Amino acid sequence: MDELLNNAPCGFLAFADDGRVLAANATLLGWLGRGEGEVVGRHFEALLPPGGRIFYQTHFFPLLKLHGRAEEIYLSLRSAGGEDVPVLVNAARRERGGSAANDCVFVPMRQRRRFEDELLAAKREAEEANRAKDALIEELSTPVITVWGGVLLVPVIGSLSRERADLMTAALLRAVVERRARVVILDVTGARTLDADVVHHLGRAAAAVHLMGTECVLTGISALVARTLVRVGADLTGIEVRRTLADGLGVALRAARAGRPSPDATAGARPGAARG
Amino acid sequence: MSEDVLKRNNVKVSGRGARPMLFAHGFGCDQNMWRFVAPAFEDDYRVVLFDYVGSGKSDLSAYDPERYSTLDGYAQDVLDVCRALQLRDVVFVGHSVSSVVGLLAAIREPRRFSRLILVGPSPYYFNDPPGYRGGFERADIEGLLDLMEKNYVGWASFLAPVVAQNPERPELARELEESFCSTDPLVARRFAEATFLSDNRADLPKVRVPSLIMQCSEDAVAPAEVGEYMSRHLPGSTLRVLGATGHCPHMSHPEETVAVIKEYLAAREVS
Repeated sequence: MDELLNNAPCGFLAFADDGRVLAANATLLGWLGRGEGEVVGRHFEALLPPGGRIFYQTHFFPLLKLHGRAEEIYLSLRSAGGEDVPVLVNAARRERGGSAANDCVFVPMRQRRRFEDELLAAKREAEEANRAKDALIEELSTPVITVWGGVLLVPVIGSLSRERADLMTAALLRAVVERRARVVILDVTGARTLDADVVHHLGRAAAAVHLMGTECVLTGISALVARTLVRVGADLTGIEVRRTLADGLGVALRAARAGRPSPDATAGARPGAARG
Repeated sequence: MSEDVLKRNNVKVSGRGARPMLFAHGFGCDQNMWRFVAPAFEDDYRVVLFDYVGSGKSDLSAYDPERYSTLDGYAQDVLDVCRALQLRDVVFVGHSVSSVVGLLAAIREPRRFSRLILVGPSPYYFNDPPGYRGGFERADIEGLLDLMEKNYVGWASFLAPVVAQNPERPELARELEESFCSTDPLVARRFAEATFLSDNRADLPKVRVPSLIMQCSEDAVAPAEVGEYMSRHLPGSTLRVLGATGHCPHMSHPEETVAVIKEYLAAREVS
């Protein structure tokens, strides 16, 4: 072997397709604490820990054989003392003397590997935190609050997607049954947008609530939401509409006092009736 | 349905024979790994290649994490492909984990298969002392998953910018895409878990289709003892120890691999 390559500041090793090591430079042998006779003529795999052998057979060798080269592959080499040396490998296939040789160059990655381990751990933590956040948001996005006996309040905050509207409807219908609700207030004061699809969906939810003998009051409609309701011709039959949550609570309070939901309507727009 | 499966599993049919020969790739790669072997059978067989959903150029949108968390899901892919092409009397060739997938498919629909060629099979990769030595401990598989993860991180976050910086060489991007046969790290991890964590030893006696076990010399993934265990417990099996070393004889020693398969199939024709 060329003297420059033999002592170059990188590991070098060539192996045949059957895995037999054809050559290894002094730098690599030094890292591994192995003599040339322990490496050359034996299997490249013998230098790898067990998990690495599977990776070599299922990924590294097929990649090299099919594409002729492999770049920036992580591997660990096992030293004679049983210590793992993390390395980055570049490899290329060449024809030499009528048969194929796979030339590999290794750069040890001890420090960088530690850094990347930390990166990976941080990535995993971030993914975990994201999942927890999503679960929390999902839970928070469909609260059904009991204001007082028989009166439920569903505050809709942020933008309401079709999925969230589905979740909300399911949670609401469950609560209506479980808590024997007589009045349900859907408050959209905090809603940013309601598209046509979602408005229809809310209408169906309200109709379902109505069918179960429970009054539905819609409150906090902003100018923007009102425009949407009119534009899409939302059918809000059977839904009481009040301008503010306070008005809605007043309706519910009177209904509760009277022992029944009040149909009395004095304030607020009626987009359902405004149509056509 | 059949059109969907052919697209979903990236099925490729070639060859001039009538009898179907179905090649199933192992974990970590795709149908390309049969490139050195399959053409040798095109004169006599109808050669069928495919990618499991989640591998190669299969339709990733068809990937169902539930289905592919066990090898049964992969066996269903094999049976789906057989059904879509109305294959009968199939010579099934499976590498590594696909050997077990083939066995599971043959247990479910024995009449569909005439022969099973198992290249480097193992019914269980862990040691189970005192009677069984699969070759690996749990920590070893953790080591594999760790290596896979690190390499995927490498491809995804370090090489992509390099490609972007070489717009005058678009072939780099294409190569990168094909470099790792299975591209989605979560899919690859689940395939690894389905492969290495499943114990199919109890399935071996249920197989009724004759089989050839191709055992490599010095195979670190499926050691000689495992091949012997297979031949003892798999009814109607023939064990052939190859001169080929390693775990991928169809890639490292394609001539011997082709010769051994042809010899087995010819002998079975005569008998």
